Amino acid sequence: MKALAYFFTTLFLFSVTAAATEPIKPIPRTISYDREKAELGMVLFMDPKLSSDGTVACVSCHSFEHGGADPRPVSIGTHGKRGNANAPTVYNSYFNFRQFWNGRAKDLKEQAKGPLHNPVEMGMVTEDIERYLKSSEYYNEKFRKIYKKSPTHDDALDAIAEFEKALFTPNSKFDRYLRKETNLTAAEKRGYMLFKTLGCATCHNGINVGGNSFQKMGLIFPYPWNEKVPDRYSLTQAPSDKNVYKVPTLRNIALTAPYFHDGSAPTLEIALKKMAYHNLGFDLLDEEIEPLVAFLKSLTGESPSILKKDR
Amino acid sequence: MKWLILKTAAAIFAALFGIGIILYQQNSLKESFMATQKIGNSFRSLDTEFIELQRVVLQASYFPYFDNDKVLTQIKKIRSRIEALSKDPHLQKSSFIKTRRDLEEASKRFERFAKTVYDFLTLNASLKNSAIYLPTLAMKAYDIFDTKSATDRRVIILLSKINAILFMAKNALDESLLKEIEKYKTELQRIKDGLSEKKRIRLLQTSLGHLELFFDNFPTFHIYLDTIQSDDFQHEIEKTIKDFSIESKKDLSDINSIGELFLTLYLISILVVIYFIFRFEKENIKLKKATDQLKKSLTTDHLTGLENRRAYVAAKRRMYHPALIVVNIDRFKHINEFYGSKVGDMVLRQSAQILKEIVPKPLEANLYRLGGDDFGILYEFKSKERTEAAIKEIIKSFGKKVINVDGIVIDISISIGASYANKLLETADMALKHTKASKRRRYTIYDRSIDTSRQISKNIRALKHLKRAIANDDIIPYFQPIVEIESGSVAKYEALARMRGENGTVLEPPYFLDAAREAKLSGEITAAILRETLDIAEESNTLFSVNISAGDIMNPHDRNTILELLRNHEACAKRVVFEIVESEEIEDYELLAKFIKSIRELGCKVAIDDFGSGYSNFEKLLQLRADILKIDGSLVREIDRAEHIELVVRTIVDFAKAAGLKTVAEYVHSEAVFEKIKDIGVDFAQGYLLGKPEPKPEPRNRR
Repeated sequence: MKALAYFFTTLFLFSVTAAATEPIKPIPRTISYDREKAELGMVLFMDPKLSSDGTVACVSCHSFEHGGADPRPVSIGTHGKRGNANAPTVYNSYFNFRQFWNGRAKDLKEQAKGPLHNPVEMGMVTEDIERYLKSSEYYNEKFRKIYKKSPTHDDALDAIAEFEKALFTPNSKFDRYLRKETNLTAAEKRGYMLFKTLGCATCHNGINVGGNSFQKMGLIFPYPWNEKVPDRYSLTQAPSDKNVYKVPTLRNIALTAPYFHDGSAPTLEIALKKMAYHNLGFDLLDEEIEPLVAFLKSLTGESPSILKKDR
Repeated sequence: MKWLILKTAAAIFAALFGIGIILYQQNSLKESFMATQKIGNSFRSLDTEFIELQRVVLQASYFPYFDNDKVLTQIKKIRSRIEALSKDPHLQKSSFIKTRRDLEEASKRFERFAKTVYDFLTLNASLKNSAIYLPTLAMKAYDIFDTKSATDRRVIILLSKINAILFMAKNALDESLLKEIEKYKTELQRIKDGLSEKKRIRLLQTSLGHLELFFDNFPTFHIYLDTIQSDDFQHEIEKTIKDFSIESKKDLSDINSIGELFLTLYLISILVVIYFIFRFEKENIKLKKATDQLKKSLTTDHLTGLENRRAYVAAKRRMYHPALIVVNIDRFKHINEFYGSKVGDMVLRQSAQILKEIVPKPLEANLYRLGGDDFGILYEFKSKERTEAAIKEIIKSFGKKVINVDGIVIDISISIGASYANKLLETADMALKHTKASKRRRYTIYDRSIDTSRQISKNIRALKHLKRAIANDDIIPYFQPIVEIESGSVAKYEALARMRGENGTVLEPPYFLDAAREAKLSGEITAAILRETLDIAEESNTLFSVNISAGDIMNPHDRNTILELLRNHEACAKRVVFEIVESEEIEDYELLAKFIKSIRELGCKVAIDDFGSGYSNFEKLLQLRADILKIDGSLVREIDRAEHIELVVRTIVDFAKAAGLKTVAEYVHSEAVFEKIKDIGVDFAQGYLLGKPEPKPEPRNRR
């Protein structure tokens, strides 16, 4: 019986294969979100007072000039404390299946809590946050208007999450290509082809070109590991989870250097070479790197509309 | 009253309560049913969605590159459905303990399943990478290795074989095939170790790395895939659905039985209300009975058991055109006197019984005792014929009945008067009297003619009396003094006609004068009075006045009789004053004047009676050459009360004085009147104040 089921399923699968579907989906042009909440979230996102020494805001490590990511290899928190990972981009993070490198947060709201309370990042406790928010006339008014009560920690996270939801970057050249609105250059096209045939797409797929599964860094040739890396192992303590991370998005990848969880690849070329070596076991040729980079650059989308001053 | 309101309120409340319960019951059943439907559908969708997830996972494993979002989306979908279900308010009811537990189990199971899927995706990616990359490496080997060299050719052959088997193994999910690769792998390893060219070593190293990865991960991958495809989650859902349907059935039947309970309560409350209404009604009936009895006793004649006159009056008022037959027992007074009132009562009672039986049914009549020995039969009038037929029927039937009181048979008959005119009882009574008056009649139906005929019969009787009185000299004068106002002494007496009746009664003119005029007997009366007066005058020296009508004077026989009487009493004729009533009857003034002349010659004086009573003609008066004017009593009587009457009387008196006539005022009944006429200058006065009519002229002073 089961064999028969397999047989039919297989047959069905082959019939689907005939109409090959692209492994990447374009970002929708619009997403519905609560504008008021998002705008409050934006203020909170950029407010350094939400850190223990008043120097670090969310935006400190998720720079809008750098594709929502941190140009420094690892994040630097209050009092100059160094973190253990390169901050992933906040753009399109709404589409990730989980948050953080090791996916320990199930959604944005849960994620936002992390850096706020992390002693090496913003180093706040719930009471500090609420006390600060309640002392502010602006926040009091806004929260009362939106949440019908005085500011709370939870509502602040909610507003930040709503803002992050609004940070999506539609209409990249590649998305427009997928929607058949434009054409790719020969190099970009070849890059996309290589992306699929070399095996990149097995992990980097979906709407976010990644962000939808965990994968091991260094499948063929092991990647350096130490106790501090933010991998799955730090959560599960399962040996097989060492150096296993959430596959990062490749959206706006051209803007978010340096790359990898440790920010060890300052350029796309280096990143590509490293990935090819550790996970595919070979060195990419220059004639392969060039089109791949061209393709990756086509993934850069429009800046989030909520950030546009004249929107 | 208070209780009635309370009971009504209770009844309304019970009714509303009942309606409420039924609506509530209907609504909860409907809601429960719909919620059950919805949840049941949701469970089935869960099943379908799970199958879809399994299908997508399979796709992910087969397609070299695939959008993993599809898998994640499906997981999210199932997760949120489970969450929605476990938060469903309907499932929070205590009836669904098992379903909730099942759902919780299923949720945990699914989370384990989802984790397996994530792990599978991780492995899947690397396996696919290797499966894609190994053939790529094999192709590269053609470029790097020399096909002419046996060793190099072996490398290519080995890589091809490995690829072929791997393809088979992966697609067939058959690990046993991998064993065959094992020896190729060892061989390839050996060849690699003997190589010196870096490029070649690297290629083989990478290939072997991928192969190793594949070998390491494939069994786990296979287990994951198997687990995913054969997961018990579906069983979990099936179990949940089963438990849910059992619990739903119970829940619905619970709601039903709660409804039945309420319904029973409702029915009980209705029964209570009905009981109260019943009791209330019973009390009502009792009360009504008592009221009816009281009413009946008020409107019932206790002797005969018939309704009484009060009931008759009430009944008549309700009728459209009432007709009444009054039945009277003949000679009942006699029966009562003869046998005693006890027997009389029995007669009345039995008569009532008989009447009850014999009153024709089609009349739809009511029987009343109207009082004494009068029974009334009241019914709606249809026609005279019908009434007549009914009366005849009653008389006939009554005649056949015998009244027997303690062995004494009393023969009684009835008289009937009937009417359907206005003043029903009065006219029916009149009709009854009409029957009684006749010897032959047994019944009379009232019509207008009865009124007239009664008058006639009265007149007839009066005339009989009158004739007899004349024959027996029973017409006699009574004398009322006429006083001279100035001196206060009686100047003369007016002779007034009276009739001696049976048993020494004395009747006044109204009783016989009309009859006398009709029968032309007034002259006889005038003559009788004159004769008597003259006889009395002979024995006294006072003056007398006698009434004479114009009709008497016009009649030659009467005229002659009067003149003859005067001549026979020549001596006292000069002491007689004739009072003539001036009226329309005077047809021949010449004859009248001639008569007056004749009596004047005999020494008589003439007075005009009732002057001022309508037909007064001063000119004619002067022609008659009267000596005295008698002012009409109706004027005198009112003289002290109305100025205009006083004025009329003054005028008459002034006129009389101017013409040399004496005046007399009649009907002087009070001092006030007397003072007034004295003041006006009337000569004589007559009235009850000064003296009543008496059989003999008795001179006396006034006051």
